[in-house]
Amino acid sequence: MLLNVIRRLGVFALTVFVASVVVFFLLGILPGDPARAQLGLQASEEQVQALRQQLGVDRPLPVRYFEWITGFFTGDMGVSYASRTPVAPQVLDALQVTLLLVVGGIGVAVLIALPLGILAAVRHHRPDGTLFSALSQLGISIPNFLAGLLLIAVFSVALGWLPSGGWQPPVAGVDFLRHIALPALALGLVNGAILARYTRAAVLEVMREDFMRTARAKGLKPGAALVRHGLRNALVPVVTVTSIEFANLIIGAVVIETVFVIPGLGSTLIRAVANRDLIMIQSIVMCVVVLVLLVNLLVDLLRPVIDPRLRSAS
Amino acid sequence: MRKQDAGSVTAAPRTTARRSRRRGGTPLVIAGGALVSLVLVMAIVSLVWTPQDPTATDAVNRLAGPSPSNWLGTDGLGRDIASMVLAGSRVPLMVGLGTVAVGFTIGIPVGIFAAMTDRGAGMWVMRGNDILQAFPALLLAIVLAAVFGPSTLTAVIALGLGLAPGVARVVRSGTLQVLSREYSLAARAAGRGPLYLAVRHVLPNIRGILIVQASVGFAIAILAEAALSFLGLGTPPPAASWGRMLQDGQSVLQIAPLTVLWPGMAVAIAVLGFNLLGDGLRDRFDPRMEVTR
Amino acid sequence: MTVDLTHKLLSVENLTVSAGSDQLVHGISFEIFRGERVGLIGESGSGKSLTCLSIIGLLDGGLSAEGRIMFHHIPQEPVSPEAETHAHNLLSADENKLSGIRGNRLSMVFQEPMTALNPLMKVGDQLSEVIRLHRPKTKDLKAEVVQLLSSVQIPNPVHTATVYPHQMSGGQRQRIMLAMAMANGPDLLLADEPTTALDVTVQKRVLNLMAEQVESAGSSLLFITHDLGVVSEVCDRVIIMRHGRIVESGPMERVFTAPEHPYTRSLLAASSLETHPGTQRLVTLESASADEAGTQESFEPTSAPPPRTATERHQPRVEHLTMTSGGEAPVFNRVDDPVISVRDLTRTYGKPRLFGRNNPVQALRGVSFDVALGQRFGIVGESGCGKSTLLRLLTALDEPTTGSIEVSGSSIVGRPERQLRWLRESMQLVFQDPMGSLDPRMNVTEIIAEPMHRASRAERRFRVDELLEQVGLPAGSAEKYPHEFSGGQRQRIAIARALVTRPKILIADEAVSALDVSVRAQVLNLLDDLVDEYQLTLVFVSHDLNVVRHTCDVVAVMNGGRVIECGPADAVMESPHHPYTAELVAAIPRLREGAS
Repeated sequence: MLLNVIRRLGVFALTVFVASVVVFFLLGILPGDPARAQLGLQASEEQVQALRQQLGVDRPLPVRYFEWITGFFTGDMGVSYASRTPVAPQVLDALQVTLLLVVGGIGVAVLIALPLGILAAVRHHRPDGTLFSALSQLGISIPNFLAGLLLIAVFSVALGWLPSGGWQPPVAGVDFLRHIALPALALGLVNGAILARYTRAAVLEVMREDFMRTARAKGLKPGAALVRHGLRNALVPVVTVTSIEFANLIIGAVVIETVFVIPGLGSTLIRAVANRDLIMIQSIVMCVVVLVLLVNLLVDLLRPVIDPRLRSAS
Repeated sequence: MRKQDAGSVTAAPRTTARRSRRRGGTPLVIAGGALVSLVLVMAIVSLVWTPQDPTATDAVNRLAGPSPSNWLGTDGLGRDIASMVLAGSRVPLMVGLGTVAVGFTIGIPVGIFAAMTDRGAGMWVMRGNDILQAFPALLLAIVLAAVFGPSTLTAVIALGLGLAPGVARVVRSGTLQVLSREYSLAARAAGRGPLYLAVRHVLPNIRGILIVQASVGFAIAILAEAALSFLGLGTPPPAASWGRMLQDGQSVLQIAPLTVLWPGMAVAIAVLGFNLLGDGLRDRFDPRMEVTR
Repeated sequence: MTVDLTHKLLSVENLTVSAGSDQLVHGISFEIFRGERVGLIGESGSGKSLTCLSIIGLLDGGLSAEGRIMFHHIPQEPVSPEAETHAHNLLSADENKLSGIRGNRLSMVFQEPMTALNPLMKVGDQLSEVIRLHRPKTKDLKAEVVQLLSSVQIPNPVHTATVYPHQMSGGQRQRIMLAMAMANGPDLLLADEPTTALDVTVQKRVLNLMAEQVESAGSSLLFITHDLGVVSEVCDRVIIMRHGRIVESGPMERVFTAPEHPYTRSLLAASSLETHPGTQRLVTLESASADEAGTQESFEPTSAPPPRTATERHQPRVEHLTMTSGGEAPVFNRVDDPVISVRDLTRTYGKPRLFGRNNPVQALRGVSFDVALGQRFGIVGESGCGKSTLLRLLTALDEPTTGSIEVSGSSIVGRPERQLRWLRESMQLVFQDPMGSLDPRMNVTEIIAEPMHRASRAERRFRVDELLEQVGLPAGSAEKYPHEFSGGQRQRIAIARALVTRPKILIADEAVSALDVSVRAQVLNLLDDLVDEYQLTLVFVSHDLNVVRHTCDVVAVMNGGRVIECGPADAVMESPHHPYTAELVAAIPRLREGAS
């Protein structure tokens, strides 16, 4: 068990390393010379050389990579090309906001998905089960930013109940909740629909298992058999999908933040892209990738807790 | 004799189940096919005719309601919404096609290779594949748009690269299944090489999975393209785009909420069509849901 | 156990099971008395399992049962005076009533022990659940679970209660299922092919255990199986089903010694691999071939007339050798001019994992033997004995860890594929699973001609037509696809593919194990003919000693990755030297033994 955890941590570290090389290649090397890009073609060679030195891009690639990656994990992400201010504080602030939003979104998604998916599976040959399936199908097909726009149109524009955008930190209490409600709902609705479909499929599959027939043969009624034997088994694939959904949710947050004007990683990223602020983009992308990998790791560690078959695998 | 019923028991329900699944999948396939055809027809029609010029602005006639000349009204710049929605159907379809083409060109060979060298190189290929899956397609598209500037081609390449790891994974598991069947062993025992196996046994038998992947890929690509254009990182103007129409619509959401409704519905219909098609085909080919997103 | 023939326990009256408009069971009726052990026998598609599932009310959603299944009260424990004659119709009972009966008065053991237990729940909890469900006032659940576990001879029951199903073997899991079914002392135990998925030696033990449990609890038993040998070990009375109808029923002894119905007669003959006295060919059920060809049914057991030329092949001059107790393995079946020569073969599978340890599995631990030209060499062993690994090595589909394999004097170890072309042409394979061994997306011509690398279209067509005739398939089969054929016909196609290059050696891997007994006899006869006609050297792998004994001259018994005994087939079977072989031979369910 412990060995298994250590092995997974090792794999995680290696994965993060490879991913960081990819990010470094994509944003540190591929775009070319940042100094020339910032100063334009008119600038003299000396000016460019000077800026190169200042930005530190005149040194060999391995050194630059090593400096960037150690900096990244120690909270020194370099200086923004655009604003000439340190990147790290901006990224960390934005990260907090995005995390709150994503957690809210996951919460909404799970609250929708589990009951809806189980119901749709149990009643899959009845009209209401079919209706739930159709609803989730529709939910998947709506882009989350459209869901956001529609929510604004209804709850802010038409009803005036909730703000159409902006952000308040959690210390603001009710105001925080009022601001996070619509974006979290927009995020959670669509991802909840996806999750609901996987839940439905997982429950349907479990209901066909031999051990469910055994449970019935023991004298359990269909509902009791599902609750006592089916749901936990269905949870195994659902948890895996949730981790994959998490990546979708983070990337969905990028768009949702733009819709609701929330100062998270997404809107910061979009602004950085507009400014071609590559060092900022690099840090944010790395942040997102590490976050996704972390969640995958957590789920990998969690699955043996649910499923004893995975425990003795090591 | 011991295995007798193991063989016959799994064999019999499999055929009956497949028959009923085929019947069960059909309404979904028809509904999905109809929606996809609708979008296709829109795209083809828009090549030769739109009610108005989708790019022509009209400063006087801004945010107008539906009228005989502007069926769905006009947007904040006075452009005809109906024409823009029609013309906007071309880009998503092209992006979908390009994404699936890129994703398949990379994903299928990688998946088959990984399966055929499962104990050696394939294991490392799949490790790399897992790492790439940590880069969501949309994030990749944003990054590439930042590096190379926003364009449809950048979007297609990024989304295709984003799709490929998922395709590779599904193809790998399908191929492993085919390779574990005794007919693959028989082919090897008959001296047939890996290329023959891939072409004659693997591809025909994973055809169903691939068709499903293609329609799911289309749906994902259309959603992602809309999101990119919404963020201003997709198809640049003047080409009409549903995503950018939604972005334009957001600024006038307070006054004219209908301007987001029409392009929004268009995106939803296109995505729903491909999703339904994929679902129906999946019911027909493969009862298990593959996790691909 | 005395059967109480005055008290009916279960009466099935005019039971019909249908899937939509397809009727699968056609109005069958039978009764089970108190304490009676009834075997319900049939080949695949006979409706035996559907009958069983109808009784416990767990048919799949798409199936519906009609008729009456009356479940009678036990007279000793009348709930009220009128309950004496009272009975429930299980088919019309509501869910409340049924769930009170299931697992309590009526319980069931399923075929597949690997999937029948909840993988996420400890074994002890799964057992205590069924007790708690029907006897909620039970005081010491834990003790009762341990008691149950030890009653089915699970070693270390206290520990086992805290273990998950995947940590147990198939045989152990089936004992858990049995314990679960017997936990509340049921009046009737349904067992649907409970030992079909188990190895013979394990099967023997589980069967004995089941008979013992049923006897001590005074329960009745309905035992569903395709295996007549198994039935004769546990049942008093048998019911023979075919195509959804009962063709014969009666006391086991009578049915097995003096069967009335022709189908029963041929089934018995096919099961015991009875040979025609004059020709040495297996007696087959002509009706089964009539089914495949689609002609009129007839129940007369027949056998094809051509007499076998090489009848003396059953007396091979082979030394009968055994592995010494020290584990020293001799070269078995050593001959002067071997076609196949295997020396000190080992194969170890490691599990290379990133940051992981190697968990090596020794599939083969030093195997040496020869196979002579024209010999029929049988390999017998239970699952996990290494026989599949050995086959993969013999056919150069896998590389040995150490050791050598020579075919016709040339080594096949460590050769790249292009140097093995001669081997691919001279050695072919027939597999077990008639579903999986044919690509569903290829037609019969493409399948059979697959090993013909550089043949012209006309050559292929000619050879395929020739082979179709030789394996007894209609000429129109060439353009058809595998799903249009029955299991036996598919196996014929597989045999045709194996012979298309006119190989010298044919390797058959459990080639008849997945077939119904009546079809099995036909395929074995066909194989027999073709081996003679093509002058093949046959390597025949099976878990079934009877089949190997019939088919082969020499048999090698494998266990734990080694050949432990090898010699003339009859000698090994009749006077096994190694204790494991003796156990294996003793475990074979014997048809007549139980009857007499």
